[in-house]
Amino acid sequence: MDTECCKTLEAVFPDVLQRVAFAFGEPALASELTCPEEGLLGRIRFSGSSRGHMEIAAPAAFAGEFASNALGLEPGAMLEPGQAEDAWRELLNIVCGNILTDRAGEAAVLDLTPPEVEPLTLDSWLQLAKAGGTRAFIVDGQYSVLLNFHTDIGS
Amino acid sequence: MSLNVLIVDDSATTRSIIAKTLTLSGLPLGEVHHAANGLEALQKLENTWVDLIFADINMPVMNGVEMVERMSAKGILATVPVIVVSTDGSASRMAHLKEKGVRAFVRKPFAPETVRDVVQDLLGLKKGA
Repeated sequence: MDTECCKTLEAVFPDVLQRVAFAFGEPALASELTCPEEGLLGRIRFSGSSRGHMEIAAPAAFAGEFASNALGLEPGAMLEPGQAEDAWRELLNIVCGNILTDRAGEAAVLDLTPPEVEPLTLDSWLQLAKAGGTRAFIVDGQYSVLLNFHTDIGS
Repeated sequence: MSLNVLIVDDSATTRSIIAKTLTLSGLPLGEVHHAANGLEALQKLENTWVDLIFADINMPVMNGVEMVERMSAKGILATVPVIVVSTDGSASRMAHLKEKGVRAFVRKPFAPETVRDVVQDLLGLKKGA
């Protein structure tokens, strides 16, 4: 991943977190983060002027907190079933859309697939941590988050 | 004056996030209606008066473009403006939607003040009112 792309990821992801859920994300080293015991892995693909995908791995607790904040729930209020995953899909959609526009410009036409969310496994965390195109973040001082942005070669 | 709005998005959570942002915008909100796709929105418009529609583009059953086209064909678009809420920053896609009759765009993520300014400009509401 080129330096410009790293800068884009490190700018867009914290900005979206802050604006949607009042969360604070800062870049970290992937090697310093540990795989959450219970986590979510989200994936969204894009096509058009270029093709590729983006993935975000994070603790389930953070996905829940993100959903609560984005929805403006009162502290202690319970999420409805599926709301954390649904909010996580929305996060993927917004982050990927903004990264693509930042990188490709407003002239590019790109289509996003519906985001997919699945339970995070240790294997997928480790793969993501060592993959090219991955940036690591600590969110709200406690949550380990990996974000991978991959553009297919030749696209 | 209070604004009745219809939020059209296939994600219930996204609709709730948009509704929360509208609440924080300071706009004089009346009833907030929800629809999961364009077809559901058209059905709602048959028996519900709304002043404004916030719509996603990519939705199952009927997408936002087809919804706008059908609203235009029925003459509804002239009285009920549609604001597209999307992550899509493509200028050509926005131009295409404008040709179809979409009146404004709000790019996610958006602040309450952004949506307030867009609605005030669109409806000619006095700023600060």
